[in-house]
Amino acid sequence: MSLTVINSGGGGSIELAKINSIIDKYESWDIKLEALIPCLQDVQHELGYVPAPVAALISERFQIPLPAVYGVSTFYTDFKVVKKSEHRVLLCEGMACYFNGSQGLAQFVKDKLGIENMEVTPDKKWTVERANWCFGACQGMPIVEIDHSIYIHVTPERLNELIEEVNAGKTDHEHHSADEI
Amino acid sequence: MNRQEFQELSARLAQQRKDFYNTKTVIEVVVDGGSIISGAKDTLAFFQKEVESRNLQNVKVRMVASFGAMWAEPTVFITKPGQPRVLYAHVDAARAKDLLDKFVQGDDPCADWALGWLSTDPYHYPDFAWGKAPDEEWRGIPPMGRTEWGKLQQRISSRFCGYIDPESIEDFIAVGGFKGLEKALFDMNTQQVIDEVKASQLRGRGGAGFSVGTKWQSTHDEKRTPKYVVVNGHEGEPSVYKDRRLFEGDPLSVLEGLIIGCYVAGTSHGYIYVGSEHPLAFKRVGQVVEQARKLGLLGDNILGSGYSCDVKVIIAAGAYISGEASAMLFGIQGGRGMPRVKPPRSYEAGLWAQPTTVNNVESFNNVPEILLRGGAWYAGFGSEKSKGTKIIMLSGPFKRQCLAEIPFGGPISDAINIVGGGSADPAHPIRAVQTGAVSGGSFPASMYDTPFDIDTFGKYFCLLGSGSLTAYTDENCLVDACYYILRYNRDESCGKCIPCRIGCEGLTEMFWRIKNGDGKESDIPKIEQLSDLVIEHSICGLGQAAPLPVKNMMMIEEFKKELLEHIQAGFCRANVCSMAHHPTKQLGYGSGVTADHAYEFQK
Repeated sequence: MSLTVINSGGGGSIELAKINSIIDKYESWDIKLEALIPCLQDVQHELGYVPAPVAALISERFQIPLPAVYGVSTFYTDFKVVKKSEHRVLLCEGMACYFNGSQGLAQFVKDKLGIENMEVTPDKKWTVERANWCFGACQGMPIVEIDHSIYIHVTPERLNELIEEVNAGKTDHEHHSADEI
Repeated sequence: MNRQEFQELSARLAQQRKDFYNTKTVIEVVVDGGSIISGAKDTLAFFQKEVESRNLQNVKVRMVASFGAMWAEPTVFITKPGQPRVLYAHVDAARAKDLLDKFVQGDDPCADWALGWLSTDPYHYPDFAWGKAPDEEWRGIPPMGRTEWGKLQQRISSRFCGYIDPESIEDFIAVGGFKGLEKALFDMNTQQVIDEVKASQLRGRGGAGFSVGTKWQSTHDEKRTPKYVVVNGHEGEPSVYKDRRLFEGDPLSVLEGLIIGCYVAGTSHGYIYVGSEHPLAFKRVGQVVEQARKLGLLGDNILGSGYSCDVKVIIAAGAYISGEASAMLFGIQGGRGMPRVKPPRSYEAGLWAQPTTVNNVESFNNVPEILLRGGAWYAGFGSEKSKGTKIIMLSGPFKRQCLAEIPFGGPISDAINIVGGGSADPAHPIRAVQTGAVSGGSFPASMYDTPFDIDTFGKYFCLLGSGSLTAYTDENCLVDACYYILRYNRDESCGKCIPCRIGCEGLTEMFWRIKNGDGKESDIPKIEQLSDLVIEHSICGLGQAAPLPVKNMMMIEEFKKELLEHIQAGFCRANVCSMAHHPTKQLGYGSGVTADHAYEFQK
């Protein structure tokens, strides 16, 4: 294949080989529909979103109609079809966290960054989302995830520090990755 | 591997395990999703590094998982040869160093940091009830069955959680794993297995509480092939983490239950569906399935019985609604996880429109032990209609946030005040407890004697559901809680059927108005009417359960009073709701104003 890089549609480009190697992993699955979600998971994990050209590629390789791929990638909360922002604050809004601090954190984010749930700051730097599930560590309530790092017992002051650290490009702080739990 | 080889392996590994504990000092760090967040991996790494640098030949460090003492994470078991297994709380690097110095290398068991002690063998406790073992205090450390947290616990479903290395199939076989499968394959026919499960009166542990035996019978009786058996491990609710803990702590019991389920259904296709919120659970399940394949416990001709079975592990992609059985099956088929109208039920037309058994992780987990000990044994626990034990999850301002397992039938105060230890802060007692996370109402303190039982909960519009209990203190507002649950369900509604899509939105908006002081008394009949409509006309469990907290609030006087205070007097006693728009806005808790003052003022 002569084409090695595809335009993501939203700025930047994607290495075709990388995507093909992800899809190749599912080549052996006898039922391609079963492989769709796991494959999209890998793409989401690799790129942070599922760009339209990749969806088209998956559709072609798996022989699944493109609308069906779009249907799945827009339905599930895990998949994003556009790259919204550089960084993401994810506030755990499980019951225990909601009643024990998370509301204050949401208010703090609104005051500091001017955004509410699912909104993006004008400079496309930050977005805030609420986790409608449970991290399963209610001893650490409230829990906040920033760019896949998890923090426990977060107060508005601590959240301020964390956001400032990320803004300053500091990423070597102690954390536990959301992929480990 | 044939049956005889399996039995030899099982005996050999059991002996090895015994020798291991008898000759080595074993340090076991509880490493699961919850404890990793609290720093368990650092503790594990510290122990490994120290043991190596101190050149302690006789000390072995390994991991176990999902023991459940979450309030004390990171937790560590230390077992010296011939001594009991002591559980230590809050073991960070500093404490780990002290434990190494004082206990592992010295002889001081550091009783102050110990939560209790257990045996190395889960079968040491009659019927897995910690409280039943004739245990005595050991050097100032109480046995787990004498501690407040442990005395009610009876761990059947979570029997191996905290006892074995979840990533090692050998350890699982050493404690008696796969013996249930062996019995099913060689000593029982499919109907006998079903009869045994029926006799246990095991009910589905995912929430609906449907009889597992009946479900299995239905799939078994269907003539169409191929059939499928699916473990529903998509657990997307807030405050619910039992399935992921079982996957993280004892994935092989689930797998064993699944293979038995496949054998009964007469199929060789099993699926394990794991929520994507649980990467560690997904990883561990994938690992053990691979190991089982290598040992010949999955694949062609299992243990030489002539029966073949293989299991696929599939990852979900978020969205709470795709944990509903029919939606989950669409998810496996690579579609959008939206529920469909039933009937046909899954056993008639499930995965790929073929007969399918779908059960919860905890249901499958119980089956091997039921086969080994008999259905009658299992049915001996619990209340009249809810048999056996249930994993409960306590979250919120409890003294002990934890995962525990207690028999059905006792009053809920057992779970709240004994297992949970009441409120973390005695100044703010637990005034109500939310059941079933986001699908169900709550019980006020005056009703703590209500039996912990699936059917009794239903009478009060509460769902025992997944077994989660969340505490409310006087700092939490029940109207806010109701709003939260409705908002959650609104967000997570798939939008397929109109009553749920629009009804949840309508209810959420009404509660938002009430929270902001715009509530009217005429809202109450509207809320009631809309709730009934949503419950009656929604096609799946989400819509049918979403308005339950509203119904519960209308039913229980205390809660209704709180709602009326918001509407009539603009008074939120917890001072949580803003009440910004109410004409006679009052300050709430802490301001000295009471509801009576607020009503006075209004006059």
